[in-house]
Amino acid sequence: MESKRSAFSCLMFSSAIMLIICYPGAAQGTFDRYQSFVFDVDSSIDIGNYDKTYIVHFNFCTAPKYCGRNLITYIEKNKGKQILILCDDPKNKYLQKLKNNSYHLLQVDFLQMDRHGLFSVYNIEITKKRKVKKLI
Amino acid sequence: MTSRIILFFVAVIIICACQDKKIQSYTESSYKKTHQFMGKHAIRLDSLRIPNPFSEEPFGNYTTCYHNNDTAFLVLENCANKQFNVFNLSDFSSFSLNEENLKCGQSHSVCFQSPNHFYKLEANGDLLEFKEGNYTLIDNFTTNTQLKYLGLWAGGFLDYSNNIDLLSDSTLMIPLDVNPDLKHREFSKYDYGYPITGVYNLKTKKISYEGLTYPKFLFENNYGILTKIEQYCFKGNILYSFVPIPEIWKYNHDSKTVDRFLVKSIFDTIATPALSFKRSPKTKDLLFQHFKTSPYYSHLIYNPYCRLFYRFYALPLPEKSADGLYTTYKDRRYSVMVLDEEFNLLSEALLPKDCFFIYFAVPASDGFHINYGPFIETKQHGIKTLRIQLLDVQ
Repeated sequence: MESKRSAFSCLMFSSAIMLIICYPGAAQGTFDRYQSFVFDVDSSIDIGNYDKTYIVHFNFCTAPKYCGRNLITYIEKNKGKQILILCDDPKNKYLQKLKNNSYHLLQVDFLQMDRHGLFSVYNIEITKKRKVKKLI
Repeated sequence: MTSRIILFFVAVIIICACQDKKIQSYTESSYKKTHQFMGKHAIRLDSLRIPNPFSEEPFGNYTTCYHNNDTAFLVLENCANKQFNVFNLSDFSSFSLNEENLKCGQSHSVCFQSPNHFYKLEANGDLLEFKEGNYTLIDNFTTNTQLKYLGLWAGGFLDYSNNIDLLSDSTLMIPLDVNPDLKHREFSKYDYGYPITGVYNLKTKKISYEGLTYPKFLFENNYGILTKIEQYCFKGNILYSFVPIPEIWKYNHDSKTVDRFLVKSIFDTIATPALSFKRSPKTKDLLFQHFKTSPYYSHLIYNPYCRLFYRFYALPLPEKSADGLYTTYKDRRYSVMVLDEEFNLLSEALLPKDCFFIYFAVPASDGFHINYGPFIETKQHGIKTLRIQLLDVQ
């Protein structure tokens, strides 16, 4: 009984270690894929040079709560940062309201993004520390 | 000990009785046999191009279509001019209807009787009648006390699958759903057995419940975005076409019975999988992926001029294409099934690659019309449609 318990503990411990080791690797891979995709769209842009990168899909996400007011308020919370915004409509009315930071807009084809396995129904935030976060 | 057993049985009986409070006023008959008569018929596809003479591009996502006097019409919203642009799909003529109350981008269901007479159900529950150039408000289903009592509503998200339709000269079929905003309600979204079809009497302005109640199997098997039932009027009866499974159920108004038909596509080799995870804000990507790749059935349209039914089957989509890249919604292939009035499959054909989404499907005496690709740049290129005809093979 005791040996079973210790074996189970060992298994749990090793699983936890595996998760700690593998998870940042997976996130790193996702960051690299986004970086590579953006480089293919515009070779002068490296998302690693920006404090934060946002991916906003206006045509897909039409709710003003998630793709409008709340999102703009969330992005505006960054003060004095270099921000890159990838979107399907750089002339979108909500983007005109951005003022607090230095923004660079890049139009991307979301169908191409989908073909590269980067499609998400969520808006995405990518930080300089190579963290990819879904904005739920 | 004996009293405990009795108490247990009493509790079981009480629980069963509580569960049987569902409104079910029909009996289900056994499966009706359907057959495939392939080889005797062939399907002919013709691509057509209808000129768009209007100054503005239509807002193509919100459309309706109808048929009148053997002819099919497509109706598109013209948001800039607040008009409905109406296209005759047979002789390629077009005209516009002024629509001062047009709320662009908002869902609504329109049931045309003739080019100048239609009923319209708005997302806010307003039921309107358009006749001789004027709108009349008939009722509002958000404030309707009959619906409020049960916690049901008509309106909300309206699309081709829950359209209003005339069941008879004075009754309108109205799809119903559970209203999540009402706190005190008889039925819950997390339940089954609630009425899904309302019959609204245009003279007495009263609503009654007909046909199917929300089936148990759909409640127990979650197909995500594909958990849908299409409702159609057919010769005074109601047809229910299930999106995730091949079945069609026919509700007979007179005998209050339901006949079940298994109407399977020849391309249907993989069943639509039920979700293995719970729906939550964190599983939206998985939900969308399930919708994107799973096969399903859509649009059951009757052609009274040829006495045929048409139904579409969305073939399963692999995650990756042959070039190693991921597939998108544009890679989806559809087939069209042509059925007789007893739902026997007469013929089936794979649609061209550009038909990756069915926006509209409307019958006419010269066949059956669907969109051929999306509505983009219609000002320059016109509206592309595909005409589907069933031919006898000699």
